[in-house]
Amino acid sequence: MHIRLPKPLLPLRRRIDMRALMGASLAFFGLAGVAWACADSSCYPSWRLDSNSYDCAGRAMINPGNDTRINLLFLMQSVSAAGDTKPTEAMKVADERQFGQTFISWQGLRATLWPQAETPDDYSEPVCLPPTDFATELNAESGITPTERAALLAIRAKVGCEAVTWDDTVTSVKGREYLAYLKAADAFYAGDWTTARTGFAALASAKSTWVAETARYMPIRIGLRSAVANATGEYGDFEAAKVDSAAIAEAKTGIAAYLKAWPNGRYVDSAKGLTRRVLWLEGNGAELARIYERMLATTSGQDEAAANLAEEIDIYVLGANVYDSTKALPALATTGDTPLLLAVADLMQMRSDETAPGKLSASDLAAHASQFQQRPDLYSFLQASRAFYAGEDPKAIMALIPDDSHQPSYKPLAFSRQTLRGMALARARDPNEAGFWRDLLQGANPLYQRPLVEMGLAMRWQRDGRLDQVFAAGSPIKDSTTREVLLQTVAPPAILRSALSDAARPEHERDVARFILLYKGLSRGAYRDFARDVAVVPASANSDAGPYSLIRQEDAPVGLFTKGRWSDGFACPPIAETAATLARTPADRKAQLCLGDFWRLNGFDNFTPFSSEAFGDTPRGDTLGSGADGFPGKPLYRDAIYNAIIADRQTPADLRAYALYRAVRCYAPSGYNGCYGPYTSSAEMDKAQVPPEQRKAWFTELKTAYPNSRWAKSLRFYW
Amino acid sequence: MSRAKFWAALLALGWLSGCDPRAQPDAVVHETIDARAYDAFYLWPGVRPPDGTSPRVLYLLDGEIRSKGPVRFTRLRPGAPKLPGKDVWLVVRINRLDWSEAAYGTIFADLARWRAAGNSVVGLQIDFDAATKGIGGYAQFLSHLRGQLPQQYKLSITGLMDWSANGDPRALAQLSTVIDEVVVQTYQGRSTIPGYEAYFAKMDAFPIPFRVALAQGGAWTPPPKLRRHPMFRGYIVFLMR
Repeated sequence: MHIRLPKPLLPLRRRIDMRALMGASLAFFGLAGVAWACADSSCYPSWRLDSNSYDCAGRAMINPGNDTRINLLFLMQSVSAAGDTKPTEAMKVADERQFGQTFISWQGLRATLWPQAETPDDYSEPVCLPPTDFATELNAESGITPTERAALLAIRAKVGCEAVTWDDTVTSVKGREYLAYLKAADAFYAGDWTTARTGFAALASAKSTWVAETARYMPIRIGLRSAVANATGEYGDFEAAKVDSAAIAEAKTGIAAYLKAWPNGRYVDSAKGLTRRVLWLEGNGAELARIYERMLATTSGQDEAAANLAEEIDIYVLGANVYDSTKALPALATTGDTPLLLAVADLMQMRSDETAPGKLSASDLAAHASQFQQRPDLYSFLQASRAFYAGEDPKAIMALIPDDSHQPSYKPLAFSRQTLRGMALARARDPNEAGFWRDLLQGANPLYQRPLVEMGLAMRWQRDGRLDQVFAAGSPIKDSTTREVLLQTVAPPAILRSALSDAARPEHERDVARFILLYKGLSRGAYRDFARDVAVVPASANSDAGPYSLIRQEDAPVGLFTKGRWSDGFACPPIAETAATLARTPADRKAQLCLGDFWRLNGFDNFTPFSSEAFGDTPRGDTLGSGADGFPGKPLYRDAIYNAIIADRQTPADLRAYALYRAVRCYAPSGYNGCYGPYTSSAEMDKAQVPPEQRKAWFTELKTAYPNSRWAKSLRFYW
Repeated sequence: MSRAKFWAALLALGWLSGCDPRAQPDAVVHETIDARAYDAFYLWPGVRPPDGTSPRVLYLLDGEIRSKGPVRFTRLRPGAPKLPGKDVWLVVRINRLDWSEAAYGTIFADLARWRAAGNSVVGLQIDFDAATKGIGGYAQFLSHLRGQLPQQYKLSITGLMDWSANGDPRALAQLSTVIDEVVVQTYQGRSTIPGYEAYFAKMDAFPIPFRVALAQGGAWTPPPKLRRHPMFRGYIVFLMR
């Protein structure tokens, strides 16, 4: 990375176009289970407990910023009778490295809990696949010859996908029923509803029970598909106003008729599921919500069906329905009996940012109280969440959520309540905050919950200036990414040295400590320390790539300091020798230029250790790793080196000529200063550009004062 | 429900919070993208050009191929557009490169279907988030796609600023023989990615014709020299409402 990438401040583009823009069309055109790339590679977590606006990096506590599907799943896990299954050691988070074990995306959570994710049940319209395992049924039928079977299967492979040549050699009674079924199905996929209707209707009393039953089921599919068949406009996309209501009625009647004729039939689940689609197409959000509420309360949170349900609800109730109906979400407050859905909607309404405060007032929430009579713990959690995100008195939050930090395990809601209590303790600067987190650690699930509690405790210790406790032997802060954040941001040299030599810790973490100790030592002028520390870098240290993000990189390239590139024209020794020279003679101009070349040749220009501040952020003190760096000194970047040498007329000619050459080249080829070090804001970036006249002056001085130097000869332009 | 209401409803739901001020580069006055000043747009299903615009070029998302399950083209725009007189690109969002023959067939059939509906279909655009490191494999895929795609269609891809700026020059050069344009996306969520200037600063030698995609309502100051970049072909606005 050449500049610090911003953390996503808003729904990612993914989230926008997929969730919001297309929700309606998705829901209508057959996409109950929305899947897209896992955590976007540009999603960077904000290392803090609270989350007040949509965050692509979710947390193990139910909160306003979580993806609504995560909140829905956590609620299902909280209310379902099924016991909590503790994750085994084998469970690994499936998100990208920068998420650590602390943050989760929806896709990552799904993939972690249900590693061989199946295609979710899809109660919408499949595209090119007849509704059942046709071949199995066909093969089980008596009275059809193998030749006929083969012919029928060949036709079946084409139905719905390509033009079919009808084979009239099928003559057996049942064989002809299957053939008629396929003709009707082909008409169905071609959108010839009349032929499809007639064809299936004629088969309702077929000898083959499979054909008879399927023919009875297909009117549902015909109704649903024909309802939306012409609901498109100039842009070819869905237009709700054009949905055919007679066709919806056909589907509705079809469901009732099928369930009556085949009460224990093979399509019962499907037909019942399609009821939800009918309600959706009708715009009957209130009834749909009641069905989903029942499903939320009865689906086991340990079952993958819960994840599928969360995805479906997310589209049909929480997002898409608003496209053609304003009824759905407001209805949740007045249906009177959908508390779980209402809780998720209320959390969404608590989202806020600097320009828009949360939309849910205390009185709005009070008006919802009656829905939560059976779920007082959920209601008080919502009250406490609202108060917390509205910035209110932490004592009121503590009163809503009594201390319950000594449980052996926590379902997500109970965990969320306690974590929120911990956040209130932090806000109140309560002296018992650290003790509270330590208690909560005991029962927190190692998968996601525990790292979140560790972050709470680590932030408290960081605030108290007790970083030593985080890294002490036997520290409860075990999460490696959490520790790596602190090692990169605020750790003093002593902690880095003890961390790199702690053989009990993972090698990646120790390498991060090594890398940061060397990087900060060299860039902040601790040359003597650097020369000593670099001597103990393992011979096997990695030097395959430049540094860009130590947390994301599989290997921290510590070996750059021992096996890097030292020179590409201007002769320089290994960086250890350069550092030794600078340790003896800090003003040694040649060694300074060699230091600059080391940064340049090894990809350090614009490298920055982890920062919890986004591009353009003002420094903040409320994230893990924010606040004063315990490593003394200020970094020295290349342009400061060149400027100092150019300003010093006593510098030997060959060195000053090289400084001029390098200073001009800082702007090649883009015209931007690439030697300034990482920019933290656009304003800083603007300020770091010297005017072109100055660059021209450097160029001219190089050419006129040192016309015979190789640097003057090789520079033909300035930028 | 009107577009405006639809978006207002989404806002009310919190799907889209307002722009986070942190996303706005500080202390520099930037212009805000007003769709009416542009004539090329990206449209996802359900979104239309706002009143007061005169679209000339439209990039319309047709469907996607998702990472999960069997390879399948999922159409999100059920009908063919009917937009005679406009240059139309058919956009496919993909999460994977292991397309089935059926997927190619479906997409090519949609191109033909759109053309038969009276549209001037310029070509196919692939919207794939290639990691900077993965451009090599992506180039191979695109090369195969180019070989399959009927000659009359151009091939366009979206690119994140990161790889446009930091991609291996050799890989980019390889791409340039296969694709007709790159659309460089400058936004994330509803906002322009802060620091975009730095990315463009590194695109001097970018060897492929490119358009720059801007987020409607996002902040934007044209980077110096962009207009004079020999490969710059103009802007596309990603419409938000």
